[in-house]
Amino acid sequence: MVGALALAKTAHASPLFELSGDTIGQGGFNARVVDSGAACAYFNPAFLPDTESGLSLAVYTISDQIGIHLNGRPSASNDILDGTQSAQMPGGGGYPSVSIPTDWLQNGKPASAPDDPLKSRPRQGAGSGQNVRAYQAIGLVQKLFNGRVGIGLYAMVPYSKFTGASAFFSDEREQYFSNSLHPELYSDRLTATSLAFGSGLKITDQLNFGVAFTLSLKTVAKSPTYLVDVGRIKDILIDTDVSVAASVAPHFAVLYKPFEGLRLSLTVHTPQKFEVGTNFSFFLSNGIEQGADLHFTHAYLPWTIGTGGSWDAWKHENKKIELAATILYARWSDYIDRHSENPSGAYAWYDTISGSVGARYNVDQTRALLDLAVQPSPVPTQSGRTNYVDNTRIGANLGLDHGFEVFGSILRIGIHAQAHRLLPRTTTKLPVPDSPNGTPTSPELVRDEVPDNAVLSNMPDSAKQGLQTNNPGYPGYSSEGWVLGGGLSLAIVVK
Amino acid sequence: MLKGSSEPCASRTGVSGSRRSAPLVAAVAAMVGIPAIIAACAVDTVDPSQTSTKPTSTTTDPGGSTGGSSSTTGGTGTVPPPPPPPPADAGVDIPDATGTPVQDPSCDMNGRWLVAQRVLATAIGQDQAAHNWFYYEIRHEGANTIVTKGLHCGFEVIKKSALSAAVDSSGAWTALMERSNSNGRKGTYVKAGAGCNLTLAKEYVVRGATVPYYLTPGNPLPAKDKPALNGQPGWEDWDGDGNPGISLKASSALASGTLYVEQRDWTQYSGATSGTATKFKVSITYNGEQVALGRAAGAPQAIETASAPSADATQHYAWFAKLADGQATGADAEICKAVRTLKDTLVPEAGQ
Repeated sequence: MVGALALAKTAHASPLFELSGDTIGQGGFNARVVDSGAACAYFNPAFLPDTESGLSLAVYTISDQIGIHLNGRPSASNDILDGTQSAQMPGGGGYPSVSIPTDWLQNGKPASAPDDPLKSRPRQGAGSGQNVRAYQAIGLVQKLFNGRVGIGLYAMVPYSKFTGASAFFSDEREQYFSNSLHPELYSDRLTATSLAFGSGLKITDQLNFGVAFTLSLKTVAKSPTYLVDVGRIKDILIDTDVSVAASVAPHFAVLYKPFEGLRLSLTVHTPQKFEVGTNFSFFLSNGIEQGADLHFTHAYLPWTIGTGGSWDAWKHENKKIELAATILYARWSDYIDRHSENPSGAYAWYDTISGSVGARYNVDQTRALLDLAVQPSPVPTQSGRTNYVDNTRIGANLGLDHGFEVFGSILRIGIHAQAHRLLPRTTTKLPVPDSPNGTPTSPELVRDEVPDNAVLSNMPDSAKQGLQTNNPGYPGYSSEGWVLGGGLSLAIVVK
Repeated sequence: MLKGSSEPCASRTGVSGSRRSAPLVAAVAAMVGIPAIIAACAVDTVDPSQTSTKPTSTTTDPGGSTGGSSSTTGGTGTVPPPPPPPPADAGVDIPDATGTPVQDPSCDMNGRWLVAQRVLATAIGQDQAAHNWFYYEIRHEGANTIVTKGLHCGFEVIKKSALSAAVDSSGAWTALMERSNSNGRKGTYVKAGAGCNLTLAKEYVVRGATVPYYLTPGNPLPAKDKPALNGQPGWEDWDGDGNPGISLKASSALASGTLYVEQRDWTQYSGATSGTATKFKVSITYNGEQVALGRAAGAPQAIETASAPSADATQHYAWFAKLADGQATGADAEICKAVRTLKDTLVPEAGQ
């Protein structure tokens, strides 16, 4: 009998916001430093006392199209051969992990009665870099205490599912699953829960303070399992007991207006992530009980500090040109991947400084925006064991809306579009030095999955000499892509 | 730049939910006038690899021989009846005694011995011990020894770690006794320091296939489609149960079932003995190969997992216990039955 317990802990993350910026109002990629309407609730809640009250909605579509090209494996001598699964360490004992024969991964294993065939898992046969998703954006702003306090809500909810997360390994361990590389900072991260509440306080006419919270979830899932033996997986019996609780993660903002027409902002967003803790316990009918704790971290966003400003560069009657610039520092060196591992050593991630500039042009109730942004990749060259796929990104955002007065309120209809180019990037793995004693001299390089000193029975020496690996990123890969978005917005502004 | 592919990228959606939202996505895209969102895409591609599509798992005998397939097979079709066992002295030439006294009276192997052999094997990280029991009548002249009668009385596998398997081969014990023997096995037993040193020549043992043909290590063990027919060597139904090879009943906490196999392994005894003149232990080396010929209905594939010798040489050894007059006597079957009983009292150390 087998018992399993899955425990999911805290969850809170908004990588979708960070990619798309404001998809309803005039925030664009500079939503931290301009009045972005309801989006202030996430990006800069200090603006909430100054922004318009009302309800806003948008239907927004985002397509991430990120292609990954794997280089061909250079030699059959790099393959894992059938039979190496029984390799032993010198002195006895098995290895902690055993690789799958490369031929089985690539071609599958034919049926051999009474067994069904083993399906193939060809390299990059299950990538996840091509997605099109539609979202419902919702914004709400309300003023309190004669406008001294503003509260707001901003959310982007995928139509397909409220939230989602997919874990994959970034090295040779992925051979057991998709045997593919995946974009590290896109794909499933764009289905993470994106819901923020904010509140701003006008301390003086020049100084506002704001605090925001992103939604946190705490999920507990218990799954007691009964299994007669491994030969009868189809007969598995499972009960489930799932509960979800909510909590929040805080973010802070300060808005300073030294004089009319200039707005300076400082924002601090605390780390956001979606954590799932899983505890499995196996109780066997012979009295053996074993357990394991596994932790997953999804949609991690690091400490992010933003600063910048917006300036009314030109005003004439009912016309205005506003310029904006934002600089963001993100502590990506703290990054935690989906299996809760922190890239470290020579392949630790970089902290990044990214930026965006833009302009807004307003004529009466017609508003237009244009923003440009650049986001350097925090991922170092992946010449070693890991295959974090990421690219430096440049993007542009266009927006246009027009307001009509209807029964004393303003009905504003808008259209928004954005495009991000993920610049081409090529990765080549470094050669792996021979290690006759089985201990790699550079463990950060591609792992030799059959050590040269492995004890093999009935296998040729060539099965273990040199490098044998199923790392899907070996011997190298390249990636590039686009992220495109667009949508329609509708806002009701209360005067 | 990425290399192109003719596959439409919209069909390469890799995250659940995207396909379900496709109609809505298309409607929204059309509504906002940005159909390029879907059209502009990049696909995943892979260069051809220099990869062996059918890698050969060459079987290499560390002792210098090659042969044998490591593949496993499924159903067996018609199983021919087992051929009659060969005479016990077939192919064995045991020279006459010369009367030469043993080199040192304190190292005297003359007599009847119960030999209990123990080796440790590992499969998918789990340890299991294999025990073989033999009856040896040994003539010792000068430094040289020769087994004048060597019965193979059976073997078992016991689990040594939580999830390893135990194997019951009792159904094949009679066949092992009738079709395998150690008659004529040569060695030396001499004084070495304060003790003795024993060597026994490398000996191959085949189970479930034609002997003596497959005792030659250069002859690969037959695949499942090669039964012994019309005088040609192949696998044989040694235990006469209608299934190929010999039947092993494996059981573990994870999987259980009956496996039909043929096996070939070898042992070599060499080293200083420890113990007394009538009971001692000696180190051995061994290796083996196994071809799965099929499984009983419901038996999971996991029981076919091949094992390998433990790299810890101290885990492989044999205990010799000299049999007293009246112990293990009679016909071969009676002798083996007695050996299997006496092992637990004479050499319980070998049952580890």
